[in-house]
Amino acid sequence: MAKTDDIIDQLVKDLQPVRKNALPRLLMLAIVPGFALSSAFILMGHGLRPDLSSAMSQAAFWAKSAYPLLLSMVGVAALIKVSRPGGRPVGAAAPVLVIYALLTMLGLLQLNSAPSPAEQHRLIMGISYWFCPLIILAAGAPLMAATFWFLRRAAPTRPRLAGFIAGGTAGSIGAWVYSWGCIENGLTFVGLWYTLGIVLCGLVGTVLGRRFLRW
Amino acid sequence: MKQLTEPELKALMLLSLDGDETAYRCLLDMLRHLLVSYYARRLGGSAAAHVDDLVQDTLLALHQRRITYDRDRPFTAWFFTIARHKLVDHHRRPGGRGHLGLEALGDMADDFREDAVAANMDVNRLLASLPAWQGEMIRQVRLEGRSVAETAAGTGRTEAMVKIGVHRGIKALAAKMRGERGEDR
Repeated sequence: MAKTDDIIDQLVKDLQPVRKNALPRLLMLAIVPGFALSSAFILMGHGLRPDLSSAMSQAAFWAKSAYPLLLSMVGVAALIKVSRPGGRPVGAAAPVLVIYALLTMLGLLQLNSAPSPAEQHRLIMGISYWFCPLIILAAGAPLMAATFWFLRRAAPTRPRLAGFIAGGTAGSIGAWVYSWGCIENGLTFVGLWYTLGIVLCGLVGTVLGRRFLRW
Repeated sequence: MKQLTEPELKALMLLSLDGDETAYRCLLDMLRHLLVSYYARRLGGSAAAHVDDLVQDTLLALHQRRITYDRDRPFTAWFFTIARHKLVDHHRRPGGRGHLGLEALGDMADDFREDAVAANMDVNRLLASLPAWQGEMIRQVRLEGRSVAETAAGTGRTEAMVKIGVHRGIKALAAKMRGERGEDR
């Protein structure tokens, strides 16, 4: 029992005030450097898309960019939720489905108005479909380090679910960064290959969560 | 020792988050006693050493992860989710496996789920609105399940007075609740 007294003494001595909103602040503190690293990697390792200024006048570019951005926002909210003891981010499923359904709808409209079968094929498979999920995984890696750094200081009681959300959110932000370098215009391409990259990040996060989010 | 309830523990936690060391020491002392009985009840008598480990581990987790407490929600629900997490972890760990199976954990910490905490607070609030002696009779006889004779002996009143106190108190509560519902409409 004496040891518990000592521990309480230690903890009281170590007490620092906690600000309101300290938890979201901590997450931002983690994400900013992760985002900077990810951007630097895409800018220097890949470069912005050469036709960026003309692409920016097309609706497809903004739809492609909005998809991972919206997913990131849902992801960040879910991450805060799952980082608290007993937290269940059940509210995140519906927005994710709606966002995906919207993208699919826009993608089908775009396919429908494509002039030729060759163009349709390009909208789905792009030039190099296999490259996209891999570079999203790489762009998401520094962000995954950030979200895990955050979760290890929080109190997630479902390590695998928390890992999945941390990975998926990191992948979404990484995909948004990459959307400024990627030359594809097909929304079906985004729906398939971007999503695959984000899900891969989520799966890596699930595996890492089992290992690193125990406390 | 007087058992502190949710509003008091939460108030101490809020003061602690603002850096009040006296409140924090008081909170940790209270929680330590709550935890000892919480873990002792669930581990069985043979595991006294484990109880101490778990208590210390949980207090440490509260300290290191207090940033995750949401000031707008019940404190005990948050805290006992951590305590339960530590207990589940203890049972999963090789060597820490007690004779209690994981399936027995199902009903654990039910007293501290958020809705249970809220219901408990409602009951306390209603009882507090009665004259103190009536509230106390109802608490002992109806909530803690003591006999009328025991309660009478414990409070120094006659059995008839205990019965009358409970009866009148319940009647007053019923009237009050009808009134509250009426206001809600």
